[in-house]
Amino acid sequence: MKKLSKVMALLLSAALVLSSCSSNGKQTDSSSTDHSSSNSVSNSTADSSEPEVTDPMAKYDEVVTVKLVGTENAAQDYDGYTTDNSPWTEMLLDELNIKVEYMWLSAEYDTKLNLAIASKEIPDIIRTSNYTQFNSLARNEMLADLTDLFDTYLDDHYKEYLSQANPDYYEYGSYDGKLLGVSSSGPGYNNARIVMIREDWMEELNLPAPESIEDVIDIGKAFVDAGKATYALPLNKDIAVTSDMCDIVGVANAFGAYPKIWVEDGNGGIQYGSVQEEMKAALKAYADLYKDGYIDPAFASLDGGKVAEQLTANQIGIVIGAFWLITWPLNSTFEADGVNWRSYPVSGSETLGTGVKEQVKAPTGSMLCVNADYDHPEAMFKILTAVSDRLEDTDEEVQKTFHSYVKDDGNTVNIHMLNPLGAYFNDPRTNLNTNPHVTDAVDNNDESYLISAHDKSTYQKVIDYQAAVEAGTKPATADWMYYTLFYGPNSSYGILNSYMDNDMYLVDALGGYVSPTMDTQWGNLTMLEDQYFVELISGNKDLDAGFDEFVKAWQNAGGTTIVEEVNDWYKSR
Amino acid sequence: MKQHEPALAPKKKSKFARVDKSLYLMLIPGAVILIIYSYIPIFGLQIAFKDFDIAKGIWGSPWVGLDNFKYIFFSYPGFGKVVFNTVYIAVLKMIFRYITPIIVALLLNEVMHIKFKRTVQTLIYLPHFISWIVICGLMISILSPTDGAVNEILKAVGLKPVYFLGNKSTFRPVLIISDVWKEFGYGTIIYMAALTSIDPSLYEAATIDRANRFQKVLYITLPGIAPIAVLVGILGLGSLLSAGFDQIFNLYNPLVYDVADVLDTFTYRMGILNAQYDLSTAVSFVTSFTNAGLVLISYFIAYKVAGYRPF
Amino acid sequence: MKIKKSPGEKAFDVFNYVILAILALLCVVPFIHLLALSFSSAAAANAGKVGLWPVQPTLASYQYAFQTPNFVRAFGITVLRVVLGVSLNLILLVLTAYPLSKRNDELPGRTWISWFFIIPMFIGGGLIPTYLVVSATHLNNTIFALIIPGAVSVYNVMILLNFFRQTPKELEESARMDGASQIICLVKIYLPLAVPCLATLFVFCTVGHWNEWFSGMIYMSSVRNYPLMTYLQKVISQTNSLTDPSQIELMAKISSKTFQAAQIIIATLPILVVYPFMQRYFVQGMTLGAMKG
Repeated sequence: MKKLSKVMALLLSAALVLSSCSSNGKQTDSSSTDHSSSNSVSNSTADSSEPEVTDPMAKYDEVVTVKLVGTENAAQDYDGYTTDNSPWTEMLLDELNIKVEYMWLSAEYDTKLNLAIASKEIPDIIRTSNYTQFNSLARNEMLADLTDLFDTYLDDHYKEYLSQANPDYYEYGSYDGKLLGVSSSGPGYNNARIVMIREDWMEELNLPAPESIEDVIDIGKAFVDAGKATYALPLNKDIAVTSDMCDIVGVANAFGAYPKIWVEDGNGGIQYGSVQEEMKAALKAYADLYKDGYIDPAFASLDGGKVAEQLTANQIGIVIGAFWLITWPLNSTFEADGVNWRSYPVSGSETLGTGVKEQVKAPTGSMLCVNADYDHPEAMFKILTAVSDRLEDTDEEVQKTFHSYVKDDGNTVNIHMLNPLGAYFNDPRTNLNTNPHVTDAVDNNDESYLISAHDKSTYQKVIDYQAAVEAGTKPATADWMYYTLFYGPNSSYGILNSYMDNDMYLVDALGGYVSPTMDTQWGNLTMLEDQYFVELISGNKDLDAGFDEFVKAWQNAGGTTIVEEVNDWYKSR
Repeated sequence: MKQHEPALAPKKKSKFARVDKSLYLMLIPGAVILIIYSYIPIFGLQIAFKDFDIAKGIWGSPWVGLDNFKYIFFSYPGFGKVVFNTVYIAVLKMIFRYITPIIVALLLNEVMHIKFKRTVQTLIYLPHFISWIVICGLMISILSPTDGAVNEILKAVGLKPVYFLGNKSTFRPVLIISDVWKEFGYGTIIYMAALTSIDPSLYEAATIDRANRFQKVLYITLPGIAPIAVLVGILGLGSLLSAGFDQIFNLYNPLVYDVADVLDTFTYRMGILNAQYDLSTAVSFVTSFTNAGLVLISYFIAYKVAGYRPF
Repeated sequence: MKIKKSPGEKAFDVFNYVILAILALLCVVPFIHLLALSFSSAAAANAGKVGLWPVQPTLASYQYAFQTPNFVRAFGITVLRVVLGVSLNLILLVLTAYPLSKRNDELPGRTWISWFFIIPMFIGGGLIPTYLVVSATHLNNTIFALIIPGAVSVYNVMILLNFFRQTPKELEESARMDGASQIICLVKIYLPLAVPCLATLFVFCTVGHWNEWFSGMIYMSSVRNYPLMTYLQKVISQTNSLTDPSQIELMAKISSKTFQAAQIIIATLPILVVYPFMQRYFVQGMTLGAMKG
């Protein structure tokens, strides 16, 4: 479930970005079946030894089969469509003569892909889930060289998106001077932690807005003490895995601790956040809550889905996580009981004050690659382009077919989540820009502030929301979601913009680098770390002694070597 | 080809020792499956001594000597604990699994009411046939700290609820009790069979000698099942490293890894979840050969003590 | 043989009957609780009010279980697996056990061949090597991954082999004198006599295949290919997400607890139904297996 909700999260976040066209003026005309004309190619004659490509989106003469693997998400309602049978697969066959076949679909994508790589049963197009996978595929020459194809087949504006998301994307996907993978993600700016609190309980208990992390914790306790909530803060077994949902990252950041990422140490080197002294304060905050019964004693056996259930069952009134929690599962509480969740920035602890930084992951190592043995490596770019074009298209029919539509029973069917590769290009700034655009437009009653189609559709929903509130009726859940996410400085994106403006983001300094020892032993260290954190929070181990013991164990089990290797690399860059 | 023996030849020599080749043919399918799915993996254990590289596979990866073992045994903290947990849990299970069926069989033997006896037997054999998955699901539900039946009972009598599966002091007892619960009934079968083979005239003679019931148990019943009990006990030694993957894997969580992580679960997490194939196989290697050694030793003792020959 | 019992003996009898009755009840009470849970409403289950009788009885959990495609499919896969797997098991068992039950002069080299079959009983290839071999033979994601790698159970071969040996030699010898081949002997003489033993092994193999879950977990990538117990394992260790807003109505009636209980009950039912019939056989088998030698 952890993986499932993580994937769901990524897709949901992407869904928001892509619910409309980007604003960079690219012409698309994908409502017509002759789609290829819309893509101009900048340097189609790059290499004379290659056959000249006149049309990168040309239909294959004969059916070309491409074997894929994918994530299975059975919990969602797709109106009978499945990943291997959707408007996408139909479209690819009709327009490109590409037949998509899935070797498997799994909810445990990472693990199954590991096993598939180990047994060399890899698909034609591979979406790696971490850098280690990419690295071992690349090292073993199992990937096709995409260097020329990338230039020939990919439209410039998509390259632009890539570099906006991650300026180093090209180096990141390169190995031995060859481009082997297209990075499908950048730093997770969108997924920085936001504090979300139930407004109804705040008002009933007459609590002021939190100004420090201690305030947040006190509010959580107050909810429990007043009999509103069962637990103060959510927590699950993936505490240290940074699941964007029920982990300790938000609280840790408030104490100046940065679990799971590498941070600069001020002496030109970098250090691993989880083993720094500051972590102790963050763990102590949770350990104290645990001791007093404010944390579910069974947290170590809960997964993300279970915690989502606790949130929808009115058992917890605070969650510190990524913006998309509003779209799932918090939307359920609005749908059911009209519960409003207010967002607040993660503010520092009383000792740290305003010096707080919000950590974000480096690009995750999710990379699109092609099997070296596959005869049509360009098919990957064709599929990516076809999918991304559809999802950028503002045409209502195209949106309904490929993005989402509302079924008769009121359920939204998110077709875009069935996209064949599990990834597509999108403008990383769309959401962040929508927030000020919509806010200005609403406040000044002036639609000229709206630029992208996403701005416009969001604006409409915010207006609808306000109208419903004014009329005293219950707003539609979708309208509430967009209002909560985008309108005003206290919306989710308002807060993310304020992080950006105040230079509060702290990106993993390691980037995607994997040192030799990391390659073989990082998994063990992670296992070790996760277990110690659980033990420290649950009081199984004394906090001070236990943390020191952890650091020592971590260093002995390869940590010391890794820190050296990583610093050698960092300084030599 | 052997010659036909005269019809009056001693019995040990077959009268018709012509070899039928079809016997060999019959063995081929089973042998092929064993070669592929048992023998090749056994040779595949060499990954333990290699730096496993997916592209080069089992046979082509470079040798690294004992590096993987050194890391597991000396650098990775907590491996000692894993070994300890394995032996500790396995030994406790072994002891309780051994004693309980004997006691229950003796009690059952004292029951004269045949229908009652049959019913009890039917019910206590049942859990053995239910998958650990089902039983673990049942336990998780019943032992839940928030809404489980056991904790509801505790609360009803004024006790504090206990998170049985998340508490280091209760986890191992829960493992052992549930294991005994699942297997004790099935374990009695063999003793019940042995009990039926005791000569009833012994009891009659004892009655005439005015032996009381306890004396009969002590001097007739117990000696009657002693050979089987000794044998079962010796063969049980072979399970010294079998702490029960199915059960532990489905019940444990990070809160109790410290007391619950055993060799098999460790191998799984290391190999399947963390993709550390060579390290994981190093653990498998040790487990596999130690297990084989233990079973052989137990068979050897059983052979020496009880004349037991499995084949 | 009526003997008057002393008061002490009577007290012991009472004590004995009570203890045994409690033990027997302990073995079924948890299942009854689960059954009650599966028929209870979400609210009652979540409040911990369900004991041994359903509270606010409802069939909603069962309805939802039968509407859950992955559950129904997993059930079907397990049935198929049992049919194919048990057939293969029994065929291989007979084919392997029969020659090995012969004497050395009937099957020269028997000792060595026996060792070949016995060694895998003692030593396993470990998780990763086995996985790599199974996937190298392209069984991954097919039902054969659940059937073929463990198709030869050496332990069961031993049971059948010892049974064959107990068959009076004279029958075979006279048939052989008449020129019957070993295959004829096997089919005409040994198999009919081995029916009770085969029935026992049939029970063992069926229960084994029904309950097995681990190979499903590692060899199947898609939930769609999971056998029943692997599917249940996921249900137990992960949550069925009942948080989708579209399911709010449903969530009022069932909780993951009652839903899980219903699925467990359905998955266990076949074993419970055939259990009384198979009791005779497994008692026999257990004695055969353990008393041999």
